[in-house]
Amino acid sequence: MKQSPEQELDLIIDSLNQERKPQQELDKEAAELLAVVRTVKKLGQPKEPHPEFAQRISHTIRRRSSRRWITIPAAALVAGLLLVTMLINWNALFTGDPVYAMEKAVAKLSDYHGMLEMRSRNAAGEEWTVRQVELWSEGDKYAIRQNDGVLTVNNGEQKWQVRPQSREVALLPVAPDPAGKGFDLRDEAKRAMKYPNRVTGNEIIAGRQAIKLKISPPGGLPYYLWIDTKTDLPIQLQTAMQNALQTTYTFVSFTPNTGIDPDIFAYRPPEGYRVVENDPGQQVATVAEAAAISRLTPALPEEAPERIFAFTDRIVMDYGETTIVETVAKGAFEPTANSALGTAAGGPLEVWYERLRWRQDGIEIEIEGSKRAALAKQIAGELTLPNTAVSLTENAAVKIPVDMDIVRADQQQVDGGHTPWQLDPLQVSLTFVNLLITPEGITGEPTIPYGSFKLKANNGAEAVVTVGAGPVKQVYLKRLIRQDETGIWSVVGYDPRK
Amino acid sequence: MISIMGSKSKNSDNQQQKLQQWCHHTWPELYRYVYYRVQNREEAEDVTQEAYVRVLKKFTSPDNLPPPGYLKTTALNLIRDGWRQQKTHGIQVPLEEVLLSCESGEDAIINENSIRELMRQLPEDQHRVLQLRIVDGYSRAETARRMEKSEDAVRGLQYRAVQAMRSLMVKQLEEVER
Repeated sequence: MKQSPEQELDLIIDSLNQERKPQQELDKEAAELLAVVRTVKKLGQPKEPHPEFAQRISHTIRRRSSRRWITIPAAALVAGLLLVTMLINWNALFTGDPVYAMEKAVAKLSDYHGMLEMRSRNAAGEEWTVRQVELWSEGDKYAIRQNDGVLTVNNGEQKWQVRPQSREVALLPVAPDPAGKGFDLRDEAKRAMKYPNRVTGNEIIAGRQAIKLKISPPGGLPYYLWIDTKTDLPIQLQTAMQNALQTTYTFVSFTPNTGIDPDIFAYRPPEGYRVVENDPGQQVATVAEAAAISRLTPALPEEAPERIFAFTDRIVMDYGETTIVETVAKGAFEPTANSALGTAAGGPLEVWYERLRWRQDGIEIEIEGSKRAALAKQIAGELTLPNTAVSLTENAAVKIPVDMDIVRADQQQVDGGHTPWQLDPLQVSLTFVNLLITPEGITGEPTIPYGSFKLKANNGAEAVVTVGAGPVKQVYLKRLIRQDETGIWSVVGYDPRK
Repeated sequence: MISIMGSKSKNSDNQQQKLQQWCHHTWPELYRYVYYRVQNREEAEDVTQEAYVRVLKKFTSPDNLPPPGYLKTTALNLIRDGWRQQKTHGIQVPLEEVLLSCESGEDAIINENSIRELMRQLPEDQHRVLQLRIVDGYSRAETARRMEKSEDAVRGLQYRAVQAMRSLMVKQLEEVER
């Protein structure tokens, strides 16, 4: 909700009284009033700097001068480079950038415990609490207790769910665990760094002073993140209004670096509870053990995994932030229509968000996470990732002009969950070609069916689709708003069939 | 080799010492200069520190360090940069620039005496709310209690008072220009 000018000025005065820099974005009126407030405040007592400030300055001088003036012996070169890196970060730390401070705070976070509340609001402004969960997190381990008492725990070695109503403990696969714990502080910090953002104000959230940050994914609707000024950690996330519904996640209580009781992550089924197993897999020490259990011979990268899990039909190799899943290949390999395409082991490679998927020696390999490209190259040998530097669309015989206002509106529609077919270059091509044939609209089955459209190339930003029949031979498409899996495709040209 | 390194190390120590002394003598004044303009400790500390980082990028020898005036100009430019980034579309605000450049001395266009004088021209309750809420730094709740008003009333009153002060300052600046 936009603040009134009176409220805005009130927050500005509060910031200055609390010896903090006002964080609001200012229009001319607000900037003038702030200048007046600063001038009037000159009549008050100036505040001395923090006692440790002299030390801080001295530290800065020492770092700066040592970088420039002290001869560094060769043996200390690596340490020196590290110092320079620290220096750069140090400087950024004091520019007052809350996102940077958040990134640093998240990096220092060893564990946390809190109550996370999820509230929804509809377009009419009605708000209700969806649920509240208690959350413990320590590195890769986490535990979540829902309102109904159901407790889900992943201790890195085992994952289970305690269900009091049915008095059972369900063993679940440890990896991969894409859902994780939902609103994750680390993920939110990463996202805020990735997209354009700006501070829009200061607010009290759950009794804590917080900086409100507006995050604007390119072409998408902005959403908001609140950062606790005391801990520099995110405490509230509010999604954009999608499908007339907006969700707010709030840490109504939160304690960072609290030293969580290890018992929380210990697997001890309560007495009288039935243990339910549905192939939770098992951690094994060697690849040979995994092969024996899963009955498949895995393709292995040079780098050894941290852990290996074997299931009856698959092997999961865990590299921390990256996971490899290998299964027996079944049927034809069909890349997701919206994925970018590369090549691996002489065949097609699907690139989908942070996941690579391809087939090799009768095995389907999926790698998800930050180290995916390096590990995929180790397994496949030959690996070509989509190259956006090479234009796929410039050779279109007929260029199609694009109205960016319409494209932006379409993107927002899709972001809101409507017309998802615009994410599929085959569907967009089908609609375009069939509307060329019947400009009055497509009624019933389209003249040129979906099966006639094949993805020839897709580098993530541009795509070429071949058409098996009809007046068009090839369709050229671009992601004009966002060049990732959430960006819609627009037709920018085509080659007529001669 | 050892003696060369030893000599270099000694030289570096001397340079480091000179630099630390220069910094030790200059930072308190620079901090006060910045604080006077930004009126909050967080920003004053950050700008002061960043000013040293910027200056040391340009001055490569501790035997040739800039005078305090150079540090102040650097700090002033850092404040301007920071404030510009905070504004919608980087708009220019002439009043802000004039007030930022005001010194604290007798000769200043708007100094402490003239601010007090301007405040006296305001209606009594506007004068009082500026004194309590801004000069004395009381919270809105405490100001409301002392003025026997509601917090909403204080919020509205302080807004009108700051607007009125702006008009008086603009008028005074125009008179000086004439």
